[in-house]
Amino acid sequence: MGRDAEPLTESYFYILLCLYDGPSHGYGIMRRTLALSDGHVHIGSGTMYGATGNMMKKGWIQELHGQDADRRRLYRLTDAGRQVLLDEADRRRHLAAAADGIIGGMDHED
Amino acid sequence: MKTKRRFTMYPAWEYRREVEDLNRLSDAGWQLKKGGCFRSVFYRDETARYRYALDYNNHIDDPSRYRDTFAEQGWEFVNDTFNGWHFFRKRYDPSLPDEEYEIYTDEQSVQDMAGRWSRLGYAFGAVELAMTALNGLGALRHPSITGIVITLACLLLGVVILTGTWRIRHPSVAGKPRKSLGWCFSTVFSLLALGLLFGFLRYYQSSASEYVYDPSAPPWTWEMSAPLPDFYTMDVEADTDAVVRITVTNKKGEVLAMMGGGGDLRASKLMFLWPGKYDVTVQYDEDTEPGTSGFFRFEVD
Repeated sequence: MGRDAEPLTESYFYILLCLYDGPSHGYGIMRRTLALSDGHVHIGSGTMYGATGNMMKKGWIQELHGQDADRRRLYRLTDAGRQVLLDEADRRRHLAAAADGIIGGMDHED
Repeated sequence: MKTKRRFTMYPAWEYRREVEDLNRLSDAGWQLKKGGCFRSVFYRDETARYRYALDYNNHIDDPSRYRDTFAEQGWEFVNDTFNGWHFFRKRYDPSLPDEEYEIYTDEQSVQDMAGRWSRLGYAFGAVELAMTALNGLGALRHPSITGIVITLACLLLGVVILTGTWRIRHPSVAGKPRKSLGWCFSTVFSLLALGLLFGFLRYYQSSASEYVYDPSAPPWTWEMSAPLPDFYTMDVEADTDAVVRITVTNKKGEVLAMMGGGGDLRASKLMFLWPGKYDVTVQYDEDTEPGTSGFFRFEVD
């Protein structure tokens, strides 16, 4: 997998996911994450700076030279980052499938 | 522009309390101009309301990217401190959810920030415990109220810093914020001030007294005074052919210390004395030949 077996945090997962179909800036990632998660996952600036910094060090994302029209910094996914995202998506699909297999058909009060 | 200074010290692990106070002051029309570890400056502006954020990051790889990342979400950089704290503010809009005013939004990044400070906190705590050991050893070798008080202050400070450093990762118990440890700092500073003041007074009101006598008709009694309650050491040197006994008594006649010997007597006695007058008495043994001479030297300090 090219990375530690530790699962990604939600913030890391969404940042990679938001970059899957093209470069974006921190604010765009934050807004899109909010939309994708139905408003449940907000990525604050401190979390964003730390997460993007770590992922750049790991080689999962890169900062593009040059900025967008609003002078915002753009990030893009690397091949390594794309693989990490796909692996993580697979892992989560397996988790969801396993959960569905056991509790999916049961009635729940909650 | 009307400004005011506020002298308040928040322990690092109570940075959330500082943020709450800054928010309250902003609501009351006092906006932060410059935040500091001990002193903050505010200016008066009743037209704006801000929400503040405090970040600890003492090693920022890319300062420009750091500030840009905050600016993208509407955070305005206020200032940073020499030791790695960064103050940010954002215009308050009551219609927005609270998460808009959080800079760390997942447990991992909160723990990362706490971890950055923890390294410093544990180092400080270890230094304080080493200072406690050094001061403690000093106080054991040369007991004094100042030494004991400063040792206690170092110990308390070390324990508080280590407890606080642990708390920065565990800020609440059963969902409620922990009680502030601010009182511990007041106690530490009071103890340090008390210890230093006591040491200063003791130095300038030292009871160091030297008594030198060439005897011809024992016994002799000298009066000495203890200006402050503390440990005092009496050093005695006596050169005489006879056996002598040296006693320290209070005015009630109670013996507090006794030393004796013959020939070259070199002795030291530690006593705790309350403020007052005391008698130091030198007495030859009853069998001493009349006219036996000797030399005595006392020093009480």
